[in-house]
Amino acid sequence: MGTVELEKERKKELIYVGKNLPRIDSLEKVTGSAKYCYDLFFPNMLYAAVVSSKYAHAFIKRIDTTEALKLQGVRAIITSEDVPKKRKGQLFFDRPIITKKARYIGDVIAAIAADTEEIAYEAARKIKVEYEKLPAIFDVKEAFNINPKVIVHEDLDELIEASQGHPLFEQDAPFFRKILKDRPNVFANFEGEIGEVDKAFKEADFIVENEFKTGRVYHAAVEPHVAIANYNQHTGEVTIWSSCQCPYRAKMELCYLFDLEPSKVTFINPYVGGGFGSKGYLTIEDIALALSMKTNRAVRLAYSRRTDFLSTVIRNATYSRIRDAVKNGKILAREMEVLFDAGAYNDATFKFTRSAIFAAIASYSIPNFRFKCYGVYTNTPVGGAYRGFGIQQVLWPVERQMDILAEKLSIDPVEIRKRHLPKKDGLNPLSKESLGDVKANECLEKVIEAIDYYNKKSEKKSNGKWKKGIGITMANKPIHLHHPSATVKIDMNGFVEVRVGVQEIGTGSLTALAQISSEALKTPMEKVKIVWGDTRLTPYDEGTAGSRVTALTGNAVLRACMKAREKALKLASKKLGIPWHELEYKNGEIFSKSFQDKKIHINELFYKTMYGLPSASIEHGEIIGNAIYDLKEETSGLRRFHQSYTWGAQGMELEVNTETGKVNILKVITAIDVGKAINPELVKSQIEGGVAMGIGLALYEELILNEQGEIINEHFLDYKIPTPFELPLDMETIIVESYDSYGPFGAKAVGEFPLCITPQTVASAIYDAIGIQFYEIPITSEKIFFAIHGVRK
Amino acid sequence: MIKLSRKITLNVNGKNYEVLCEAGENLRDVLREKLGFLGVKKGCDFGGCGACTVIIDDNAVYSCMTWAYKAEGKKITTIEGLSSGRPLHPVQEAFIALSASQCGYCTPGIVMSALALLNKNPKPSFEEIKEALAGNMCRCTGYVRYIKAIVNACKNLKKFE
Repeated sequence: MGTVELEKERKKELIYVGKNLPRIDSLEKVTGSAKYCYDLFFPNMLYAAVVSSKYAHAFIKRIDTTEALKLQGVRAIITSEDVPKKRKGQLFFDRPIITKKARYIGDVIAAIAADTEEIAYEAARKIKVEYEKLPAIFDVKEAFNINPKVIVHEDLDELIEASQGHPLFEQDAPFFRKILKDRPNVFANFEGEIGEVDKAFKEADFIVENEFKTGRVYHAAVEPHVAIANYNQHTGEVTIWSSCQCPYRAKMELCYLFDLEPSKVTFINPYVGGGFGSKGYLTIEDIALALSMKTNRAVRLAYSRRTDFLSTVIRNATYSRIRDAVKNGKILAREMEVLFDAGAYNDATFKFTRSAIFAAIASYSIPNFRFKCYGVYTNTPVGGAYRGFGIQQVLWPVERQMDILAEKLSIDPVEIRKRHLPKKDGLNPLSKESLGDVKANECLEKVIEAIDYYNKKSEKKSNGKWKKGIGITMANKPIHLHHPSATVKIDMNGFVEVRVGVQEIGTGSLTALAQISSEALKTPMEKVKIVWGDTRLTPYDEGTAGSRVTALTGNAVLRACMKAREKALKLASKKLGIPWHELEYKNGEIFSKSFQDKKIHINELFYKTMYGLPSASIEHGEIIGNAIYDLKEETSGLRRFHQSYTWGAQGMELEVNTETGKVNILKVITAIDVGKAINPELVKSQIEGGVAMGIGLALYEELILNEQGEIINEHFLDYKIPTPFELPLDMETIIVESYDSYGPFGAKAVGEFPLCITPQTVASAIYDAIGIQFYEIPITSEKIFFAIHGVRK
Repeated sequence: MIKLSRKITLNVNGKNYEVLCEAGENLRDVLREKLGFLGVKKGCDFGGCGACTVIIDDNAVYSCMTWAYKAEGKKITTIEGLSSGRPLHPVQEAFIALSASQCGYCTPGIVMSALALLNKNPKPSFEEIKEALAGNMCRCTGYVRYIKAIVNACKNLKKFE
């Protein structure tokens, strides 16, 4: 279908899009009838457990399974000897399925399948492991050194070479890897310069340089990771049930690792009990499959909460540095260096080093910019995708630096941001793509007004030991491209079946897809069924990640609907004797645009079968539309790295107890430019949840490692995420609508944005309250206390 | 492994179930894996998340922290008992109306905590609702919609009875 026609379709008066329709999954969820992978059990199934390394860095010399195998009901024990030798990772492949050399505490070194979970755990305790301990490295700056005391992957050069021609390496992944021969723990680097940075520094009035950090954070999805694998020894077919956000991506990884033919592998993925990135690709499905292949039985590997903490992925810690050249009250040049602490394996860090910088550069208009971004190995838990995909970690230093510059220039923090706002239709200087209809300024103004910023700022702030503060920050979230597809079928009663390869992980995006389908076919939501969660039934999609479902899969759905509609109109055209483009489709009826009495019901386009029911349509079989969304088609081949940029600003009021360091968040107002809001209430609910998570990151959450590199708060009793008492009820979202020319009905994205902005706003407001700038998150009460009362070393 | 087990009778959602239980078995695992009440969720190993919350007699409890045999002779209500064969409870209706759940994994536990609260206190304050939900971990929503929905549900409690 031509772009012009699509454009016409988008601009029509909207009936379903833009309305606050209830979520399509709510009824199942409030009645407890929604099924998650953790709820699946099969007859004759085995239960699995894993053994993980006790040491942060060690060779596994010997694994003695004698005692464990004596237990009644143990069916198989596998080690690194029993699994394929290929490695996994995102765009860079370094992690074995089960390792021979442990690189962090939690690294899986053996797995057991047994008749019950209890026996599997008992067997895990009875397995004796002989380690050859190696010195370990935990500090990312030390690991980054030219001569680090420990090298985490001694075979890094071979890994790099192997991954260049890797079948799963996206050849158009932005900016190919350069090998840093002299830094043996650096596996990913992304460096570049825009303008003339050195010259600018010579012209500067003054230079401001600061270092920043973000801590290790746990995803804390309430459903732990789980996978059930069933290998059929007779047919060679594999079925996987798992808590995966992106079934197709995981499937392709699994096929590569085990040399499986994709047509013989099925992923079935019911509702996911929260993912936030931790279930974004292949996670534990491979271990379950290796056990299933060994036992020829279905095997359920359901991680306990403790194992989930220790052996899955966490959010990378980062260390960053910003150096700014300031002239005439503006930033003339910026130098930014970011170290992503990947932990023991790449996982998705290679991608962060490339993706995050785009947001840092887009955030403000700065003419000269030099960036250096690295992925660095340490012997710590593995950093993986986490809501925002590295962007909060780079916007943390950016926004903190803006506040610090405002302080140095004696101007308001809002003023320094206004001086550097990105412009509408400006280009991202790195990717040279348009930033689109940038509503950053509108968002900022709305927040200033709604929170009554200037009045509040000048008010008396002290109430005894409690001091009030107010802060405003900004953020952007670029949405990466992929190629989603969709299949839409209209049946003889006008019911619409939409098949998509994405998951419902909680974001509500399936509801948005239903609204888009309803709109395209003018059919009520009750008559739209979204089919998802089974690769036998659904077309390819990269999955539910990166805030992409509504904006990208939504486009594929819209196109597939229009193709199905076109088929119906063409069939009706013959019956009615009216050219098809003069016909309109609405809720199972096709009618002439000019003469509304000239109409036909869709079921008249179907043959009656011998059972008297209409089945296949005349000529076409069923009425089906298939579509893939490829942005290149729409930009006439012009290269874009991102579909669109979501912009926004956030204001926050809080109070700090100067005696204890406790922070109460009083009010949060977030203004967000989401393009067209397909469902405004669902946009708001995403913001609320992201703000809550961001408050957790800002004030409380951090995985603490002891001197051996072991996480010591690996339980929800010790690792606290915010409860209702830590969160404000006063959360307001202002949707600033724009029209994104690439999005379905003009929509952009929302899911990750609130997390990318909230911690920075907390820090800004704390500074306003007590006059102390913090450089790292979390800003715990303890840190605030010692900052006020003097540091205890 | 030496195991001590005996048959116990559990009253779940008004019906009796006879089930063979081991001495150290917790109620959550018995409800989920032996009796098939999968609306009782498992989110952690013990006492950390509240996804397994059920009502025993009048109180919302973590079923993972309750020995199965200790629940004998008591009235256990799970999410499945709330609206099976009847209209939705006003709390459920209100959760739907506000799109309060997101991933939904914590939702059954939150519904049970809310129900236990409203049974005792049909007009709770915001603070009392927060208190009631403090043991239910939710990572998706920030609780805002859950709390507002519970307030809305109070208006329709009478109708439900």
